[in-house]
Amino acid sequence: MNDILKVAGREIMSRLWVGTGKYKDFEETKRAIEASGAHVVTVAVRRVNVTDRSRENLLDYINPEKYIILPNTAGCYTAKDAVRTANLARAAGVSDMVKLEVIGDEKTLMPDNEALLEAAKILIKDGFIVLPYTNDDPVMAKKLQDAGCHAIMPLAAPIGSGLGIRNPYNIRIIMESVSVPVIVDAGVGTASDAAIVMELGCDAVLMNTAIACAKDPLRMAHAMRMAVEAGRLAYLAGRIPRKLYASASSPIEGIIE
Amino acid sequence: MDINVTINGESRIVPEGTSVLSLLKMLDIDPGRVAIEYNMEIVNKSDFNDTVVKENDRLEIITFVGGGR
Repeated sequence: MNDILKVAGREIMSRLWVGTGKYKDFEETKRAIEASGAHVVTVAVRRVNVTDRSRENLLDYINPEKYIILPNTAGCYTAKDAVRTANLARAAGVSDMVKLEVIGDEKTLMPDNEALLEAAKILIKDGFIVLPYTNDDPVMAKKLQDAGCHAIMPLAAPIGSGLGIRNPYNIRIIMESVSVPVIVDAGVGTASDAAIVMELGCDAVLMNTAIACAKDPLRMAHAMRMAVEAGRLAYLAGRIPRKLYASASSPIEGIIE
Repeated sequence: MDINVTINGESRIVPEGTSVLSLLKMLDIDPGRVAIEYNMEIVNKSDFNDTVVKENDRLEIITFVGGGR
């Protein structure tokens, strides 16, 4: 069956997208990504350590020929910083896509949507493929789409919280409000959370902490891969309606009297 | 003659006439994996060799690290 996700016309071969933070080392990062089956891998942009050059480069472990590298603007608190970071990421030469984040509050890591929209408009004008991390707010999602964003990445719960999808109804309304892909970004705790996201009909889900901070990251990566696939299949298959009373699945005819 | 430049916030002494590309070689940094801001302006990779650093220039050298959720 042809069920391939497209973002800005580009084919994406997985509906599970992963981050690269919080792993023990690059080897574990690499193996977890392999186990997850993810095609899109997000990375942060930081200064090179010029005094200690012994450190290896992440991209030596994650081949940009094999994966779609999605630079993010994590850690940016202003539109200006996010635009600057996105431009540096593009200049590094692996991608013209950006997971745009403008954080508004250190404690909750909730987005500053006003600054996010401002940064998105600048980057879109400059030819970027912009995937903004935002609240589960349908009005904001629509504004970001109207500004030209190529997907919407609403949070399911605060970053790293593992609380799962807190407001499935808002996520559903977002999907009805926009025509670009909806990729849930942040808040997944375990496999069932990922399955629920996909059963709702979301186009993809991005996670990092749930895999990297699990007791066994490689196993969890595998679990997430299966959960995302199962959730997607269940969405496409169409679940039965919820009913209050029982409905027998064995025939009434031929019952022994 | 040597000149003083600031790289990622740290002061460094380099020979006059040093290009961005030779600076990366001095620092043992693979040019393919980084992006550079030269006095707040991005330098295209194709211009690394032709961009020569001057006294009191500020350079930011960035790369990709683990992160994102």
